[in-house]
Amino acid sequence: MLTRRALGLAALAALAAVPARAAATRLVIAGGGLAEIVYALGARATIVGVDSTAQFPTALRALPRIGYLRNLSAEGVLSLRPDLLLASADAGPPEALERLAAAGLRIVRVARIDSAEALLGAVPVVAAAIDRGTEGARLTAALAEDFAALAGMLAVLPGRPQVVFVLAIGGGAPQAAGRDTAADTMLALAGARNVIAGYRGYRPVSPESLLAVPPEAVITTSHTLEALGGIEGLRAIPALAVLGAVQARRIVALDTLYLLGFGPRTAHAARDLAAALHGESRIARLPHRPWLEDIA
Amino acid sequence: MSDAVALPRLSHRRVLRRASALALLGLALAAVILVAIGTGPIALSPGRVLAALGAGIGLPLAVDPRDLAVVLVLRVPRTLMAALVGAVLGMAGAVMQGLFRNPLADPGLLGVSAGGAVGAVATIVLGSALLPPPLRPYATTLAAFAGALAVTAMVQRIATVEGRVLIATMLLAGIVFNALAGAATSAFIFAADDLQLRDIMFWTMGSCAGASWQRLALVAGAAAPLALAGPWLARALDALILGEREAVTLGIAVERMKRAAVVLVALAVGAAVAATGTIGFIGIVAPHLVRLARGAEHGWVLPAAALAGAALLTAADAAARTVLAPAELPIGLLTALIGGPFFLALLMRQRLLVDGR
Repeated sequence: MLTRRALGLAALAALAAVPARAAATRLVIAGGGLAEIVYALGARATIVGVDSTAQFPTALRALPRIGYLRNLSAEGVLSLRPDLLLASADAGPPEALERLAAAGLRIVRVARIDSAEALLGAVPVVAAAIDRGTEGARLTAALAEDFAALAGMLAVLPGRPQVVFVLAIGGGAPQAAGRDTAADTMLALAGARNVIAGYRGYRPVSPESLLAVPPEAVITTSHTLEALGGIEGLRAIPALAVLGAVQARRIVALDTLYLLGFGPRTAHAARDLAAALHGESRIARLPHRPWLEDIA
Repeated sequence: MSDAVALPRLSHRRVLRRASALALLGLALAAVILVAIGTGPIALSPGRVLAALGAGIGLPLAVDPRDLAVVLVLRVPRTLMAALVGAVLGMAGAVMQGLFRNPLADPGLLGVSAGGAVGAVATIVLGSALLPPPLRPYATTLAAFAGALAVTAMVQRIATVEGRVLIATMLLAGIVFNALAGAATSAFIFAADDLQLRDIMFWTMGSCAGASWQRLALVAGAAAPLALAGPWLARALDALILGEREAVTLGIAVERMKRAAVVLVALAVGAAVAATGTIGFIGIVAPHLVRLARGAEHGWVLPAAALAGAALLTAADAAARTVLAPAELPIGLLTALIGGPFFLALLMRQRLLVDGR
């Protein structure tokens, strides 16, 4: 039994035989946000495989897929002959990562990116891992500047609108984002307050509870709106139809990954959300950045 | 066919007693519905609820518009949906148990729920771009209905040989198609992203929150044939207890009844699943409760199981939308919580019977 396992490990190790510590040239990424950071650092050409959450820039979708990041297969990753695996905090299962490490693959794990601070902390880690320190410092500075500019514009505004973020595709109870969600963080970054403070995560929300603390606007993803056939579809959901914000069509829809993906585009997504909530005239555009450009 | 070989007719007195028991159950259901409409995270006094209801049927009353929205848009359609779906599941469960002559049978055996899940999950993952925009909010409902009917039709087709419905074959075909539909659902789940996964998960746990008058009309329309066929089905199922051949000698068109029962159940339960997702256990608990109360004659069991199922699901839905506010509990969790232990107790009793002790 033991020898067979050792043989297996040796075979896996042979697949991933790499020189000790040259600059990474064959990069596999488990985590959509990390892939966007690598792209923003100008190292897209070194990526040889991504997990299913990496959807931006579109060109990444043409790369070999290593599956869903929480359910990686060690052999699948090794088959791409990578010399570095960039893994987000959610990547797993731990056994697969252990096996990859045992096979000699260099793995850099990046702490969970769930806030602007975490993003600014993650960029240098990724940059160091792929030997792009200079680009990393430049990207960090640009992102910090964008977040500061947005915070500055929001600081002078008088109020924080109360809003709700909903997902409603299946026609049942709409799910609303509670605390500790990407949506909750984005609402805070955009100078809005989440009306749902009573629970964590995305859960089916009680329509009456929403009506009791009426949100001033309803935020959703463009995917939800598309699936429902537009704003009229949203208004066909009884739980939402009774809300004043929906009746007055104060509905904001943004691309799911742009809004919730937490990567280099997050500052701009927060700005767009803020402009939709506070008025385009009060929230100026942030400087255009090359990593916002999609590549097909 | 002379009267001598017909089923024993019920005495006048027993018919009366049964009618009064059903009336009592009906009253209990009405009470549960009223209480459910009066319950919710927004506290409304009974007076304000009644005023809103009155305004809803056109009485000239001055009512706060928010009360109107809460009672007429959020609570009434939803409570009626819970009652209707509960009734469908209760009665369909009783019909299936009679048809399969097995106390643990339910419409899931026909692949109704599994087929509905395939349709629903497909629209959640693939989107609804194929449909014209006005229909898109109903994409999941329509696809689930279509999936439920399609899978049941295949099961029925395989189990029907020369016009005869082979019950044992139907059971096995049902198992096969449940597995196949499960595989299709898994394939969609594999392709889904995190947000779609949440949608799928909550759909499979059921919810009456999507209730609107349109969905109510769909379920009511699909359930009407089953309800209307109730008395005829009851007589035939009573005869079937004696065995298929005996039922035939009693003048029951057994094969026609079996085919009709499957179609009617699939239609009604398919619509219920489409409107509210998969809700388990009502179809087992309700019929058994009423059998324990007053015996197993289908003339009693079918309508009583409908009323009991309606009351159970209405109560479960009121709890689902109230206890954890502002979040909402999936209703399937509540029905499983009530139904699980009940089912287990039933299984233990059944086990002794099967062992012949």
